[in-house]
Amino acid sequence: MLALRQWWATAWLSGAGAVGESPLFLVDYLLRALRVCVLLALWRVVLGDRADASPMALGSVLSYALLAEVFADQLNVRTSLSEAFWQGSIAQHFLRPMALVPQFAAEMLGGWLVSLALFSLPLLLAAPLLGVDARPASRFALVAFAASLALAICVGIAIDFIASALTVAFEQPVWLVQWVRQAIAVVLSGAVVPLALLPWGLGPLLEWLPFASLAWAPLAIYTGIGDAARLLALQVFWAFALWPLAGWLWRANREKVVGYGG
Amino acid sequence: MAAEREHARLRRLFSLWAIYARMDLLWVARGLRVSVAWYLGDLVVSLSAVTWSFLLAERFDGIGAWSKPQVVFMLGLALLVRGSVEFGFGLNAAFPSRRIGRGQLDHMLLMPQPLWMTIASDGFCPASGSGQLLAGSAVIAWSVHALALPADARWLALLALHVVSAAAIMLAFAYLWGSLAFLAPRAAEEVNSSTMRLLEQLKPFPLDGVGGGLAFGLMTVVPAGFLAWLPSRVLLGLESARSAWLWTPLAALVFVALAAWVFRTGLQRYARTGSTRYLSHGFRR
Repeated sequence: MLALRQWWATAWLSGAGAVGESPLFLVDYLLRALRVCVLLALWRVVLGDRADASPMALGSVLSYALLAEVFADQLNVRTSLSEAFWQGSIAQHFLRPMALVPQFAAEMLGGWLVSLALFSLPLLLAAPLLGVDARPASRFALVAFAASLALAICVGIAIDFIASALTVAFEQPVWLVQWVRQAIAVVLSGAVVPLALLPWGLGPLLEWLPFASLAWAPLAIYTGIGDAARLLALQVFWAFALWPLAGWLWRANREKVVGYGG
Repeated sequence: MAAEREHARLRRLFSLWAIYARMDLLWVARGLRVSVAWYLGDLVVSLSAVTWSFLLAERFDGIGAWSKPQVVFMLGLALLVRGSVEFGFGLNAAFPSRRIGRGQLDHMLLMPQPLWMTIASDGFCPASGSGQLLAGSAVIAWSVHALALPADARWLALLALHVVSAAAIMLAFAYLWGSLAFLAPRAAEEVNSSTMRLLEQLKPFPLDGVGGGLAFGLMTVVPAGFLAWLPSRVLLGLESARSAWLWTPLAALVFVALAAWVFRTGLQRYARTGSTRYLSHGFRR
């Protein structure tokens, strides 16, 4: 109970910190909304006269693209661990009476709650206005999607801790490792382009990588274009494979952490 | 007298560029591991920004009315434009909201030179910022060959004009939105991350067929269309209007003038309010 209260208080502080100063933070959401409109229009252009060549129907692709934006934060998990290295606040995190992973997970959740309320939910409700049918492929798909999203977050946090531990291990600039990680994840996870639409048969190959568990698996399940049982099994495998690795890497390197200062 | 003063300023600017270039080179060359990691990382990041557009073009044999080599040319141009910004305005010089939000503008104002000169020089990174420029040049060279474009002196001058203009629009856009940090240093500190990400994600797509309203928005509110799409149309000879070569440079002038006015207005406010960074309750203290 105490752990839950600590967790919730950390999430609340993190969320309030992002919105407390000025309503100007809403600009970010306006820009994201514009981006969604453009991306949907681009998909219509890309598949417009080439729909026959696509293994996915235009409706499924639009639904996939919209869902990818609605759950953008959850499909591309990023805690503030590396920022804590950069700002030097990692020292304060070590001093708090709470384990490190729950601390960063709670901070991340705080930001998500604001984003979910002010962007994700309105975007989902506005789907019909954008000409997108955002309903899941079936009731089973919705249930499987919920499980898959939870696993995606689990795998995402593990990858985040692995990337952060490697930053420390190899003494590389924090932002460089983050950029590279983000760049690789965005291309390989299927967050922007569904893996089924990749050329040269890349999609089925990439599906086996942990990055596909971040975005492709939940979105493919939701839109009914992927085999839910296989995708969920792969996500479970990666969660079990990556967490021990993340724990070991972190324990091996945490004493080498250097706070750069603010 | 005025000409002499201008000459002295120019000399000062060149000497600053030389100083920052030397510091940048020393930073990259301080170890083999650092250099290799930096250039590899930069390559991965720059290519990933245009990869999905390329993959779609490959999968569907083009995008809309654009053939595969034409899309590749546009991607090369997009890399070249971003590379130019990285080359001349690295180290957050193209992310003014961070500098304002973090109170680093004070450091720039303390420099013994006009603010514009600091902005124009302290992000000069010819070594660490050259990765995207080189990658973009290689992609452009390949597509020029594939499309059999007439790469004579006139065409190359036109290419340079469009790269410089598009880079100016990218920077002006960053300063337009980044000036919000004068009003809300905490809430808008990362607004430039959003604006840059938005441009990065939208620039590698041909905008033909997205609809009049959206196309207008992508040439004004978020000028992604000026960064690669319109310049590519001109350079590939897809624009029939004789004055087409002037559109992007003129847009650059308008965006730069607007950004300069907005930034100056914000700066006047900053002169009254200052930064909260060094106060006891400063949020990044």
